Amino acid sequence: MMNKSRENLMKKVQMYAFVAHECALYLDCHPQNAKALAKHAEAAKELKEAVAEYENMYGPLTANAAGGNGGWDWVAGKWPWQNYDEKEAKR
Amino acid sequence: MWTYDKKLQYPVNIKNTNPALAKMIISQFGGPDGELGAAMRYLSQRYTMPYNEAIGILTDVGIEVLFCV
Repeated sequence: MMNKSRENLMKKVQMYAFVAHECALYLDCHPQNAKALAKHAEAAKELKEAVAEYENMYGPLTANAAGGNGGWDWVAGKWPWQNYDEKEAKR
Repeated sequence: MWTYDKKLQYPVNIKNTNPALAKMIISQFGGPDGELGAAMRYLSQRYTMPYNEAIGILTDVGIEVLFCV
């Protein structure tokens, strides 16, 4: 299991990204819906902050955001489909 | 154009693996008549659509499939 704070920050990113994306899809067919527009704007704003918070602590989420520390954070570490089980990792 | 986010869409925690089911799902995704093939067609056919709404739909549905990648 990833450490708690990394897991929580990642969940925040996943949550706001999901909301924003779902609103965007809904708006494809209901472009005038004010509630959906507002919800999307709110989620997009929260997402931006959540991404910044995560990347600040745990490295880039997109290749374009990489390189800040002069390192290879983008390619390093686990990829999303690899389990974060620490016991497993030590084997 | 595309960007890739190094994250899953939502957390996944599989307790009981099922290889037979996995085989079926991956073949629905990438196999013959699979979603991936369809997505590539949608993303390629957007360019000749006469209406913006059609472009939007083909784009969004194509992208949705790539979320599985």
